[in-house]
Amino acid sequence: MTYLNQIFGIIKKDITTELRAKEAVTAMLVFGLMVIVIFNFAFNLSSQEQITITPGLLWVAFIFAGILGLNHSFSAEHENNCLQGMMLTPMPRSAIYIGKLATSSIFMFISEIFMLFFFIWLFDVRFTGKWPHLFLVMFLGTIGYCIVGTLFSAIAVGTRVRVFLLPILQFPIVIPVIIASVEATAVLLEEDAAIGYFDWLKILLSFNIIFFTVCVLLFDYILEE
Amino acid sequence: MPDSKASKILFVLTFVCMIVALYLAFLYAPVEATQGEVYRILFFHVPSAWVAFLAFGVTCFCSVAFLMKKDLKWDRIASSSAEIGLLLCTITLITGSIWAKSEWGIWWAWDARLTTTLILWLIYLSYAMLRGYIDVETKRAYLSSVVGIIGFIDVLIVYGSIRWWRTQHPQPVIGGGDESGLAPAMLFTLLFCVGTFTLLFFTLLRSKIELQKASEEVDYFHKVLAQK
Repeated sequence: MTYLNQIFGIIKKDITTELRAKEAVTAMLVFGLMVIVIFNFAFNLSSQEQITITPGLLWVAFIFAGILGLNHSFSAEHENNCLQGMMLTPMPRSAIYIGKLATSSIFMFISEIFMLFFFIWLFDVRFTGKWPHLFLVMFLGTIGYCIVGTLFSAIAVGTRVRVFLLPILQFPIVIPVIIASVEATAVLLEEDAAIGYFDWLKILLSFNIIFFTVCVLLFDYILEE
Repeated sequence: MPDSKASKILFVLTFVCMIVALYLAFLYAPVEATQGEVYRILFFHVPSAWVAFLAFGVTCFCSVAFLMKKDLKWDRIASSSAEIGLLLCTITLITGSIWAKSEWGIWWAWDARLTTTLILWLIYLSYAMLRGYIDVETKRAYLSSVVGIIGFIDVLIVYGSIRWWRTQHPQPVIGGGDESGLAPAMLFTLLFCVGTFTLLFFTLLRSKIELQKASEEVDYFHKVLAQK
């Protein structure tokens, strides 16, 4: 089996389980919706304020929902010792990491699209003509979020408290991703040309490259005991 | 308590330097023209910030060393250093906040350096929490090393991205151009304080490592006794 096949094996396994159980995406989507609705009551916005607060609100919903998915990613493997089973298969640990990263990102991205749809419906936000730009930010932001999150998810299941440690580890580290994603989204909502959009994208991209390399290298040690 | 000769020398040296630093900071350094006496907090704010960064750097270095050598000695240094760093980072935030209140009229501003320090503090707080939640020694060492490395790399990116976001903290005063600069007496005091805090860091690090060793021994004896 080549390395790529091994990664696809993990992805296929995760997608199959998800299609049967429909746990991660549903939970993320519903939770994200709740966040959006609660925000509406918490701020009681006028239509002008909505424009300024939209990017932040959207990303808060994404990252809070994302935590659920990431927690699920490895805690689901912890039941019935599935993680042990995966470690016994003759594949490098990094393949497990990359496979898990891919599925976490896919699930999070799918639920983000639905959340975005609801968001536009509820708040009447217009991204006219800038859809590819928005999806690019969402794509890079989600991957960046999951690069660190997948690693921390594996760390968190190794502890006594499992689930609630993940956000504590995750949030301070992903601050650059949050800043860059929110700012890039805010730029897209402005009337004029998107100034600074690509600068924020560069930050996202460099974060992703640096941490992808670091996390692939470090993942081997996490499953070691 | 420090036991070896080197530890004793380090301890005495730190103690003497601390006394001298107090004298320099409160009596020797002249009153600042615009800020008055308040500026003296600089002599505690800057050194503790510097040592906090140093401590987290040591944590990152020792975490890498642990993952390569797999010797728990490195983990002991990494965790001790992180703990001291967390303490000094707290002091930095508190002294900075007091200073900000008197200078800017507010306790806090979401500026690049302040925010980075706060995030740094949060990262190592989560590092400390992670260690508290793992019982097995080797596992704790592996997992926290990974967080120690990621945290340190992240700080650099956090700083870069927040600086683009906004900045209010004064630009570097020393070596920041012809206009900037501290009076020689102030500069000397500041450098002396930085040196003293660095010595203090090593003194604390040494005793923390000794303490950890002792506590590991006690744990070991507990285990042996429980088996009998």
